[in-house]
Amino acid sequence: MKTEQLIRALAADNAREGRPPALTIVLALLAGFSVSLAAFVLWIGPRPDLAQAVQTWPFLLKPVEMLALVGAAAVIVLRLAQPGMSADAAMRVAALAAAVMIAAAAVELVRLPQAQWMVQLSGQHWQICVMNMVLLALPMLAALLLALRHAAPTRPALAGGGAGLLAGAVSAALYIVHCPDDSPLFVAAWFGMAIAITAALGAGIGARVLRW
Amino acid sequence: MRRARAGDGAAYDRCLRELAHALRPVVRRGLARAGKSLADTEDVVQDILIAVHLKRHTWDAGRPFEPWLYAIARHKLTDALRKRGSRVEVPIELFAETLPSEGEIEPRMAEDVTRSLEGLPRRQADVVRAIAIDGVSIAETAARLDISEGAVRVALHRGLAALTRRNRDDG
Repeated sequence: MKTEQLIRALAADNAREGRPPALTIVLALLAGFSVSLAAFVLWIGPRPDLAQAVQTWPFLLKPVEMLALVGAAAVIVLRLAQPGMSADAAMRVAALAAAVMIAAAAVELVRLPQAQWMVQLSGQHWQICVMNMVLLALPMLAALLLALRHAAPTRPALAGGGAGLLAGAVSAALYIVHCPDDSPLFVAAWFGMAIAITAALGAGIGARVLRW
Repeated sequence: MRRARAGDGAAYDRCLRELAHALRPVVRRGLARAGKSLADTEDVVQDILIAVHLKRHTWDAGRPFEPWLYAIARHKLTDALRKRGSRVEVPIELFAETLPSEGEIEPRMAEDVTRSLEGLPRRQADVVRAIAIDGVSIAETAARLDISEGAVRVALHRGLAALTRRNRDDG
């Protein structure tokens, strides 16, 4: 087809235009989150001592860290969805949130006697924690990847990784309500691992499904 | 592009023409730098135009247009070079004086008509052919194929989207 002719066809197809990508992404995240939330309420539920735990600083550090990560990841996804926009600043903020998690874990290591390290690190059941957080992230990850397909990420793996980071961070933030372990050591290791798994998953899938 | 956004069809047509015109030398340079055949220029330009069209909702009208356009052009050019990666081409510098001119490229593009619509579902190919090549309006295409205008619009949109998908899978 000649370019002239192609342009004629493209111009004739000018009737409808897609939703702005930011709106699609926010709607997708909300849709995915409602599925995750329903699953959480049905099968996991809040920890029994939530009211007391909320008053302690190791607990409070968790939502602060996770919400910072959620905010940074959201900006990363929104910016990478649009061609010509850089997500470098948001990625630095995400790295900073990760650094805070690690720093808090380091403080905990100094504070605790060595015999307590493994006890705090393992918590009550870290395997279940990691598994639940990854599973809770999946509906959001799927929805975000679908939304990104509708957008135009010029770096598919990075955008997919951002989607995984966002889904993982929201899932971890939700899981705080349940998780009985508050040690920053536990949070850095297992919350960090769950989020890293979803980010890697998102990057791997994104590299395949976000090409256009 | 802003006026095209507001639903001005003629402005959109003009805008795409200007884009094609502006992109051609850039693509040519890109292909030349990578040592690829300049005969593919028009193919890549068309890829970029289709991408611009299908992804135009990702341009925020409150932001400058150029960075958005160049990011898409670069994305598509990179894609095209990757697809042609295995092909061995003679470095273009050697033939600097005998670069094919626009006129020499056109005949090949005319052959592309049949090639690039092949493999599309019948309805989509019919609609794209009527509107692109015969230059018929949507209403007329609907009458000609005895389907509704809505169906023509859907087939046209899907057909154009399928053109890039197929191009992409070629490599």
